[in-house]
Amino acid sequence: MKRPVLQALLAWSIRDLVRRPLESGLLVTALLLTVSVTAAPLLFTQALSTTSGLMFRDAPSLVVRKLNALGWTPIPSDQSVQLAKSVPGVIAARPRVWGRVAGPEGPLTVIGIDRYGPPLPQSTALPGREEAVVGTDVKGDRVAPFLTLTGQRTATLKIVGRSDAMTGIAEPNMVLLHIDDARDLLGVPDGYASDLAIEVFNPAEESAILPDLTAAFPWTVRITTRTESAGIYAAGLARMGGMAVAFLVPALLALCLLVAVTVRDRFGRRFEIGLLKALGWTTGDIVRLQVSRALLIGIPGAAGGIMLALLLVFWPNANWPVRLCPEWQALSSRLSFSPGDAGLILLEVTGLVVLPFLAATIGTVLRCAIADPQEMLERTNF
Amino acid sequence: MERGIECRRLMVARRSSDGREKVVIDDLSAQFETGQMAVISGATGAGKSTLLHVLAGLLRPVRGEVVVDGEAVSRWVSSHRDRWRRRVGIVFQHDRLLGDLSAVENVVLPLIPRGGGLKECRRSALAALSRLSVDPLADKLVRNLSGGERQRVAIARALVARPSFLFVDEPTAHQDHKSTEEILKTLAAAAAAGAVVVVTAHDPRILEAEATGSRFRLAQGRLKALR
Repeated sequence: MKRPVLQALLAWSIRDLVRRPLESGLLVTALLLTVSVTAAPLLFTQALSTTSGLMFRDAPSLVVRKLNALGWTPIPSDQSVQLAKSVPGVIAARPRVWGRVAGPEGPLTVIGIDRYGPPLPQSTALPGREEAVVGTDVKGDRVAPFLTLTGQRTATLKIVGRSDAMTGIAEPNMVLLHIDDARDLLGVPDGYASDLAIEVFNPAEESAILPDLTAAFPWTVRITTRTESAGIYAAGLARMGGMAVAFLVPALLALCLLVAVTVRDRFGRRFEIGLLKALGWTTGDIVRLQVSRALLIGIPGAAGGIMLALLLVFWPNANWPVRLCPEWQALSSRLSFSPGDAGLILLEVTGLVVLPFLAATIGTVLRCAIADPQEMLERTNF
Repeated sequence: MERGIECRRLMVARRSSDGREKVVIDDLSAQFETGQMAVISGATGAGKSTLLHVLAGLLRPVRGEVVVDGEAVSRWVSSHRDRWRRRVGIVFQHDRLLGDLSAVENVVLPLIPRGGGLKECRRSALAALSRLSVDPLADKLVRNLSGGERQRVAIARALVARPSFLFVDEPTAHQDHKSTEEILKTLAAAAAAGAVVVVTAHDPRILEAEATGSRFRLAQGRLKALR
């Protein structure tokens, strides 16, 4: 096919769309909304999965918490480290001081920084007494640069830096404090920790080591493995997957409607197709015209729909999706995403929405195009 | 040089409004020569338009064939018939223009798949409109034109691709004397340039025109040569 012919066909398909601006605009909008409603839950569940994968990659193998009759209670730091290290297979044990306190705009995760860690990037300044390094989503008091936190007591801290470092505990809603400030806020006495983070030699030993580890402590402890923690989120993901299906059902119904309208539109254009054939257009020319017309609708519709879905899920302040997943709120309000995920979602949405739309266009046109032109000209009221 | 177009024992049946098959053309044989404007007359409903549609490859005969250069083009498969129609220009009895397009856009339509770029197509379309003296109406929407103007735009559309075969159905039905003369002159020029031109008409101005070549009368499904 010569280039001028393709250019002329493309120009004509644009002209053809402009002939019916309302119809063309509605089709683009319908496709855009269908794609976005289809893509948003897919993007969301994929992003949750990616984010939880990243988070648990940095999480400790085991977390030990001391329990009493009222619930969890601070664990003696040095003694518990020694006891844990006495268990074969344990290669490191780190006491952590952390917990949830009330911030100016909701709950925040406070993490105490001391010689045990947690490890931070070099770019993150260590907070001194009455100082705080906050996550990217944490908003301070109205009087900058201070942050008032309320736990066992109330403390006003000076914000000295922001960090999006992955600590394995929390990300954008975390507050890094000097260990002593964290103890004061959380009510953890000196020499005690909130819990004990343990690394094992072989990740496959996480479960196998549990009986020995439990027996090693003279108190009642609860030990959570990385796999168990991930399981909680997997359940959340499964629920989100179910919700995604609930979103997809109306989206697919909308798609059926879109395809039906497209088919009806093409049959409604039998007269024009018959006329074009009578004027010397081949079946190939007509298919090319309709495909370019469908692409002129489909490409902006699909691209706009994907963009809208990305904005809905990843817009910095649009954390509504996270609110749908309660387990997630405690840990993170920011979702991670990779180009590979985007490509996969794009392929899925193309398969789900764009291909049926194109197939409806081409299939109907082909059926018309092989008929005798006079038949199409006569069977249309004109 | 083309040797014209020949109908061999054509039979065409159409389904009427009550659902019955009605034979419109029966055992029709005729030869239309290159370089001539043949005129077919006949009563309303005699099958003149149907014959033109069969010649133009818009309709298949039940029996018989349309032969061009020794090839039975009416028997060709759909994709080949597409190519046959590309050699044809047709003017319908009812103009079959797209009312929401301008006159020049309607005339451009046959040129788009033939290549040459949109500017060149538009230039050719304007030249065709100019031959029928409707170029001042080029950018007007067809639905705003009079019947006679629309008919001339339809003739320009048929002529624009310089077809080897031109089939014209009642081209002067809405025309005044001057326009009729102009149309006849244009059709005769197309024939003189080497096209086979077949015109159906009731209009005595065409039937008596000197520019026409062979004349036929279609009655009871058969074609009778008058001259």
